[in-house]
Amino acid sequence: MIIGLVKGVGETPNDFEFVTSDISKMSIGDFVTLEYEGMEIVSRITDCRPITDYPPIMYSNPEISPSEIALILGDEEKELYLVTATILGYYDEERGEFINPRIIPPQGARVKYASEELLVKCLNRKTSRIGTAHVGYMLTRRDIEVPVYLDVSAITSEHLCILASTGSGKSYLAGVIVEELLSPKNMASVLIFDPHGEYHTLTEMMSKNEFSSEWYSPQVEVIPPEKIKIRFSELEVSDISASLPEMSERMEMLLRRAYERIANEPIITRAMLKKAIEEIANEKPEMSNTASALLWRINRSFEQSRIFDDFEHLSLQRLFSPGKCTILDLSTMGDWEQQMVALIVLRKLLYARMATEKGIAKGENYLPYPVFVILEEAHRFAPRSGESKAISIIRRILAEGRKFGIGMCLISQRPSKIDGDVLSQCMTSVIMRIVNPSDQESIRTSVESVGREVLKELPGLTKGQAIVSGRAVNTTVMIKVRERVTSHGGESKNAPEEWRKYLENKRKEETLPPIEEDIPVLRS
Amino acid sequence: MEIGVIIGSESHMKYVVKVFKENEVKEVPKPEDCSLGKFVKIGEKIVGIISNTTIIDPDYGRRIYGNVEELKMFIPDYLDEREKLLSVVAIGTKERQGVISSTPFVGDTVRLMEKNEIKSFHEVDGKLRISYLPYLYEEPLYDAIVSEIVEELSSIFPERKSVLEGVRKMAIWQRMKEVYK
Repeated sequence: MIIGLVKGVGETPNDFEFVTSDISKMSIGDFVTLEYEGMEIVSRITDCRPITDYPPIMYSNPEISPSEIALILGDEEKELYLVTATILGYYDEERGEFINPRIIPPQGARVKYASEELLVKCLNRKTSRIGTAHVGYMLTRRDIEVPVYLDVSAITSEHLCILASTGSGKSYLAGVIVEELLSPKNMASVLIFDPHGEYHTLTEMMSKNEFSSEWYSPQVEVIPPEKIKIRFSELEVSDISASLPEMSERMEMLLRRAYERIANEPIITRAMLKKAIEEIANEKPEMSNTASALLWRINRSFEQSRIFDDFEHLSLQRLFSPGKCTILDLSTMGDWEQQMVALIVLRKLLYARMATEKGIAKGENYLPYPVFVILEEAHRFAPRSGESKAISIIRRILAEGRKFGIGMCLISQRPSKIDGDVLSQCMTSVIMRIVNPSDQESIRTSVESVGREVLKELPGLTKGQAIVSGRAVNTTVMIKVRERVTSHGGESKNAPEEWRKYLENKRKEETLPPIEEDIPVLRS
Repeated sequence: MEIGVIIGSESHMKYVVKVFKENEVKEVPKPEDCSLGKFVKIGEKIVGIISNTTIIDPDYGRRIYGNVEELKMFIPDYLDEREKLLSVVAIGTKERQGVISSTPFVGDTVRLMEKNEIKSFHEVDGKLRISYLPYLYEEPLYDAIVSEIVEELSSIFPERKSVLEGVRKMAIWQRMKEVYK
């Protein structure tokens, strides 16, 4: 369907302007095509503004539209709009990408509304069932649903970030992605670090037919905080040192010497380390004060925290397996404990995958399949400023994980608080409503795939709407997230309703009459 | 009601009309019949609008004492030569609004249009249209003429009064913008 004619080039040679009278289809972010030089060029609408310049006085009566007055005056032309579009190029099916012809569209070229069939084909890198994650539908097409699929191999090798302000639906979307990853078409191995304990509803996948095939059914395991254990011997001496507060040089030296004494033991316990420290103090009485201070710190950090155990731990085989989603519920842990869990699990994972790929893995280190890790509240684990035990391993996985089959999904409501290097390694981004200017700026500088025109759209998105860009799709596209099959575990609380319910129950218990419905109006 | 006769033109669109005086017609037009913004018909087909008025005094204001009867008797030419002239802009034919193709000629009679004629001239496919305002825009009294048109049409098309009011406001605003620019 022809909707307009090209007027000329826009601000850059990649932009062009066309004139149309059909505003109904001119959604920012939607796609049009034009044919020239034998190619069907796909372009994205980036701006639309009226060019019928009515005098301001024609807007003086809110009940009469300027076009009504213009019509009486004999202007029977429809209102015209100047639309700016950015050329993506023609879609090369063999290469599966857009190729910009670098030819300026001729004036007067006919602009068509891109057909749904073309969009399904050219927006998505893959449309086959295997290896795709159906995350939603094009936001700008309301009449016919145009599905948008993420290329699962792209997000699991080159990482993904989901950025949105609170209440925009980012954990809902993460749930959708996990559903897709665990469905029979992907059968992925997924681990979720869940600081709010809101992913437990994904266990519903095990009982829903949508996720099962003849021989496949996904497994979902929620590991509660009290069952999350780090074996003390999984800590390196540098981890122990970094976890102890206000360490002096003498304490540092003493710790390393004590650790060296027991380093070759198959299992290192806290008692063994403390004993080694005491032995050194006995041998060198001048170290006894340092030893006491060091032992006090070790007790404080490693004995009082419930996550450390001398023998128990989370094996990689329990955490990772194709067709399994493991959820680490970190909800009752402090920041330091959450970071330590992330550090140890991710480090073990990286080393295991490296060893497996090199063919030198043994026992628990043998992990012969790629994995996908979802890190909720990523700014807690990889902050831009402040300390985090896990940041260096996260940086390393994001930089090197692709080679070893470790994909990460970072989720955050404060992109400005996430380490810039970490964010810039996520080659696919799903960005939802973000109003805060510093967060927008952070996205602009750190997320490679996000263009200027996308940033303009961020404040205008509503709950459940997102902008997907980067390697997992062929071009930036605005979507409405599809409905989840499982229920959402992170719904906001309706506080007034819950307060009222609480008091009503209390009155029932005290056999008092119910609360009067006639609520008085407060006046100042 | 006949109000005058074409005596000349300033352009293809603009004509000079001499207003009838006593003895020229049975019913002499009153001043309000020749006021700004009145729709007139020139000859049988052409529709025009009064856009300006001028008067001529051949004696350049010399005072001549005496009552009208005496003046008629002693200096009849003086009274005959005093004239009221109207500028009329042709705004279409009875079939359509727009530039006219065949022009009126000297001697063509000019008469006021009836309400039903004004209504039919302004109805295009059953809808109110005023597409001739651009031809009036150069007139010095453009905003006042539009006000009069709006007044007249509001009485004929009362349901479009608020849209017509928008047209009036726009004309005033356009003129103000020019005056105070």
